[in-house]
Amino acid sequence: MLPDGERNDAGPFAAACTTIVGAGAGAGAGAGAGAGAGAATVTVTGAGAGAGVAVTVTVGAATGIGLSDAVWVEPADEEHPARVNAASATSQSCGRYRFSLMRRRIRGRPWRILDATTVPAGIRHAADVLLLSRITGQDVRGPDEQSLGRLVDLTVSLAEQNGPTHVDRMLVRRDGARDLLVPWTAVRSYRHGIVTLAENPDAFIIRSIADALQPDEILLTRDVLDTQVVDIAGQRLARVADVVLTHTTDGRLELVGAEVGFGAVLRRLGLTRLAARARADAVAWTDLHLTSERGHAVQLATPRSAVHHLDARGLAVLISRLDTESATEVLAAKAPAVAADVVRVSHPVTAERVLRAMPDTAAADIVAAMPADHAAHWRTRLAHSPALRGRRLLRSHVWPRRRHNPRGANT
Amino acid sequence: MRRTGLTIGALLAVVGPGLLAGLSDDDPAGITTYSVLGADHGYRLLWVLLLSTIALVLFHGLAARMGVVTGQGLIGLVRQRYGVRLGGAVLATLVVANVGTTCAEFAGVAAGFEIFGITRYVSVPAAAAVVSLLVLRGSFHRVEHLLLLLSTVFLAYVASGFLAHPDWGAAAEGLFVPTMPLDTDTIAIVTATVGTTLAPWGLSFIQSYAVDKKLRTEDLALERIDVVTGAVLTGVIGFFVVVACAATLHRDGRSIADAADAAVALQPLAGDAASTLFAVGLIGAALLAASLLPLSTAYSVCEYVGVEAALDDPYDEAKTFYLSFGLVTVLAAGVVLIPNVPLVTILVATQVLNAVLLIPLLLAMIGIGRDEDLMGRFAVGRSGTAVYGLTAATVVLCVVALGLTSLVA
Repeated sequence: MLPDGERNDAGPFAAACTTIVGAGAGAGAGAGAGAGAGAATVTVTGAGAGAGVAVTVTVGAATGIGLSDAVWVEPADEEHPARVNAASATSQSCGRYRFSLMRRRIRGRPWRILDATTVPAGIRHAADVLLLSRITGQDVRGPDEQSLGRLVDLTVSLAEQNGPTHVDRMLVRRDGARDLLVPWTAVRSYRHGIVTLAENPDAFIIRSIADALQPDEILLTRDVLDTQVVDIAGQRLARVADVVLTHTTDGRLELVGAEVGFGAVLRRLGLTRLAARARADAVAWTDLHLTSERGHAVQLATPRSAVHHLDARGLAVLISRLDTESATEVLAAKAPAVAADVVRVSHPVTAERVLRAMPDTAAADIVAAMPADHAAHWRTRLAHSPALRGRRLLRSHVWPRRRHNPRGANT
Repeated sequence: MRRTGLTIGALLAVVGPGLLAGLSDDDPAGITTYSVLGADHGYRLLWVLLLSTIALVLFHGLAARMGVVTGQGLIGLVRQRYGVRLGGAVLATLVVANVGTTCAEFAGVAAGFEIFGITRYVSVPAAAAVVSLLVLRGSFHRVEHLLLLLSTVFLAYVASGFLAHPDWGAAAEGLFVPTMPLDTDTIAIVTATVGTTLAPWGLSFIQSYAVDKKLRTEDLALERIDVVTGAVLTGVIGFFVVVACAATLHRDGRSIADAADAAVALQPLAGDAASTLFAVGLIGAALLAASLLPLSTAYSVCEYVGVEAALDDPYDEAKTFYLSFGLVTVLAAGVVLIPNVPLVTILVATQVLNAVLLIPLLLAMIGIGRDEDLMGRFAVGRSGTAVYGLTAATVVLCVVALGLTSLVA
């Protein structure tokens, strides 16, 4: 039995918490139950023999949610029901959301708990996890085993309507020759740090990566790694320290999520001992909104992206954390009625900043979609031109000393 | 529904980053450098200040543009563009340099108050407490206005310059006709002038501040005015400090070690008023920079680590920010209070570190500014790259020349 509030022993791939309370919230489900869980108890039961056994997580009645979900536990070679205090787990770790890869030390034994709702069933061992920072730079060889160059980036297409997101192509940089953009299906094998192609690479030569990318395709190193992201479930800005992928049974690479903790940074710096002691923290891919120029644009254009599944409160959190132009684009992508709801639950300063940045007609449409009293208020407010034009100074809400959570949002 | 265009209100909304970042470069270390420049070399190296001001306009403008376009601070962008290793190296150097520079600010507070007979064991802890409370607890609108108000103490240097009755003709000649003896001391003061005017922490601060102010690309034209105003005021204040010292100390063949010396030395030469104004300016400049440096450092650390700098969160949720801010403030104030601590050595080492750090930082900025993936249509073009490259090359030349002459010496 895990004592309440026991300290996490998070490994490099492990999220810092077992806040399973949010489990089940896929993309767009918004904040999980953790925020309002208070001192609720999460009970993990049903662990049986064998790695990857399914167990059930039940959130105590105190949350009023009664959530039940499946998780994977590893190793699970003996019966280990786990009991976690939601409040303590939340306060000491990543808060309101869960991620896929979680580990706790129970009676001296490391446990890895995988949330089955977001993690492919294939990930049951650390060996199944691949990190982008380790994949890039590896040698790429042709069918004749001659070295072609090195792998510098991977692409994923965000266009798929459902199912997991897979790596589509890899960018290979060659000395003194044009880059290659090779479909992953042309890879014969990937082992021992060497990627071997099954096909002649000449067919994959590109002139420029910008022209070669599909409209819904992004580069993981360029557009995701080390970039700032909004963790939608965790309601925070973060920076991607590594991208987590996994092998699938059919030999493809599947995108799982992003490590955002400092532990991953330390690991990439080669400070492995310090990294092992640092708090690990990761976010599921479905809970991320990218802020890189291309990442933001592609996600906004992709119906499946998390941004399109958020309710008004989730959108309010998102726009409060994005820069003004990105926030404006998010609001402009919504129907006026939805945008009006977002404005209603947003902090007035944030809402004013975004509305003022929008074209007059778009802002007028949103205001027109509000209830009459709100609309009148906003027309009056926007008619004035205050010296600071609705700008909140310091996005981190440092000034003044008060919180700016959306009205009614869980914190 | 909205008013747009170049209105006073719009300008007021934008003003701040450039003005504060520029003026805070006139910190005690800067004032000391300018004082030594004037006392030892008279008017003839004023052209260095002019070139430094132009470099300041260019790179502060680039930093502000990068912040506005990408929505990220400088250290975060360096990590994104160049990876965790280079980003980490730049951050580590920046933190060390910033702690050293904060020491210089508190040393400035101590020296300024000691002119009025107040011991540093009172003034420094009090200043540390005041700037911490100001920054950690105040409303930003009020803090910004207060800092801008504090900046008006720099006018003291302008008054001080006029009271010293300088030779305006010689000053104009020194400003526009470059001459320079190629000896170690001269190269050192020229490098120090460039390094103190275009400080690494100022670059990271202006970018973080432009991000935090939520400026938009349509504000860039107004932000340019802000940057130019701040940089020109920085140069003008530096000019008057040099002129005041050149007209008095240099004329009488007196040399000084720091800005407080200059204030004291001015007394018999230019009168009580000039000396007092100089000391008041020193204290105000020190307080302004001491307010901004720990904040800038904390933001840089948080940008690199990848956590939000959320001071309104409890300590448990914003440890990185609190610890960074607190450590820089306490460490710097503590060092100044250590009896017989070699402050001059620390300050000189900090200046050198700042100058050395400036090189990779400027190159990184040019690289990021040119990156169309990050900057889109606001990416720096070929002509811009040439201008920025020439400026960076001049800084590199100064640092290399200083290194070589130091080795030879």
